[in-house]
Amino acid sequence: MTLDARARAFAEGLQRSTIRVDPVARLEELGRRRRRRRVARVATALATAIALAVVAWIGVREAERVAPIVNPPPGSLGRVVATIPVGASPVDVLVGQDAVWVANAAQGTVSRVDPAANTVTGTIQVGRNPVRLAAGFGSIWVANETSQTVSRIDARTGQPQATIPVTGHVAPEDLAVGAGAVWVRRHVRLWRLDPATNTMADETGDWEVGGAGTAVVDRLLWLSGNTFSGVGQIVRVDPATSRVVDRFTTAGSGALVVGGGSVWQAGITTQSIYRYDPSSKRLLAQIPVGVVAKHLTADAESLWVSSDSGRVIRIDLATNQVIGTFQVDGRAPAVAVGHGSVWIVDTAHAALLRVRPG
Amino acid sequence: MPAARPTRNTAPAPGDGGSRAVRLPGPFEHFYLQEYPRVVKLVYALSGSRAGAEDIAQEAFLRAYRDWDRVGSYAHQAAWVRRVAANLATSGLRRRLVEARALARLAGRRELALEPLPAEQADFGRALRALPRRQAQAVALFYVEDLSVQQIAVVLGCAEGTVKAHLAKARHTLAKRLQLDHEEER
Repeated sequence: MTLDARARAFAEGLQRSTIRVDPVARLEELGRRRRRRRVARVATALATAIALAVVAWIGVREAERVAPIVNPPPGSLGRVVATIPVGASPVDVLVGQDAVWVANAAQGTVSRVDPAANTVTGTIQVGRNPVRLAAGFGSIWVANETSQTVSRIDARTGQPQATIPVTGHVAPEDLAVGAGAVWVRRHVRLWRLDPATNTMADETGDWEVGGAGTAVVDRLLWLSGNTFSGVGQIVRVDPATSRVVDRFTTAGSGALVVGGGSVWQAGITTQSIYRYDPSSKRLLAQIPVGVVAKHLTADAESLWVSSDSGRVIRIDLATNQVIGTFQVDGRAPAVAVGHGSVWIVDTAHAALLRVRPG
Repeated sequence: MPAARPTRNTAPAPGDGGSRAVRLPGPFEHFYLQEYPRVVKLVYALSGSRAGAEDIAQEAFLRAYRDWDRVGSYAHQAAWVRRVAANLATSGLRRRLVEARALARLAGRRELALEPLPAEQADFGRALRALPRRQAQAVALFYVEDLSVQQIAVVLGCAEGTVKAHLAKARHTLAKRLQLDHEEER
């Protein structure tokens, strides 16, 4: 047995051994510990000396005031026309034909929003910590990270159809639809979910690219990420054989999307977006955005970038220029476009913002 | 899902002494839910402590929560909490303190959420923990967290070349100790 095989077996063993770790159950405890610690701190300070306590209190207050998040002024992305309350910790949004869907991580639910009325018309219980949504085969697919399952919801009725466990007790973190299947990804691991049977097959190949950028382009799977030696790459995989068709080194390693006849990739450490020609695989443009892009989406005219810093950025596909920005208070982990609007997940207010582009 | 769960989006006001409702900030809550299981796994690998892993991870998140005004503005929040957790897990004294508190609290009250590892994997864990601290952290982040060299460099706050050197030395040592073939990764 090789060292790498042994190490990976160790990692798999750890995954299995920590399967019952429940972040939701421990969340309250964290809050209680935080409060207990505050109380203990105050008691200690009182017991020591009033003067010392006052000095310490002033110090703590000064330290707590540190929050200089300096953001450039938001530009002209558009104006908010509706703020729609959804579940706690919304993390992903998807625009469907009749509805807009939001994954609420902390509640383990998906909200179904009627774009005609700007209201939630249904809340569907899925697995724990749903992190990613995808649409295809008449369904909405939900990657439940903590449950290590994929939920299937009827896109027309909003009714749950199936819960499919990911084989090998692995937490899914990305989804892509295309080439006759739903593709479920976790780092280097990849599964093919057959929508006809709701069964999942491990299709992990020897691409050795870990990351979370996954797309289907011209019936090929594009996987974005870093190799084990830390080099950003996009690997193109034939979904029929799970074999690597080709690979090319990239400047980025993050989220991936197709739009305007190009493939767009997020650069994590460079805080840039990279544009590639899918045929020649040539880098066409690097667009600095000043944020770590979390999620990319594209329509006919624009690329939309969301980020954990709360900034949403619009890039013009024709000129590769940033033409609009929008800032939310908390994180903006996802953005989607459709029904004449931009839909932005706003974690600070547990809401979905509907923005009319300016 | 549990019946009661904090869902508010505002941080508790200083001196908020209520005993029932536990309020956590929305962005922190989201960050915590996403990262907590992974950090527990990392800590378990580095500490080998079933009893203490969750508490060490909690300690790291507690520090993130305490300084969320600052940490929440970082581009690499996940890296920050991993660095704190990895340092706690590999610092003998601090780890033992947290473990002792965890054991005291757990005594007869709660079943451990973490399962013991099979013997062969436990051997690997022991060999990992016998490595010098930074090497052990690099190996755990590489294999357990599946992070790239670039990402590990961000977590450990060092150059990519340093990470590569740590990994190379660690792999050599592990292969020797465990009598395994040592194949360089690409």
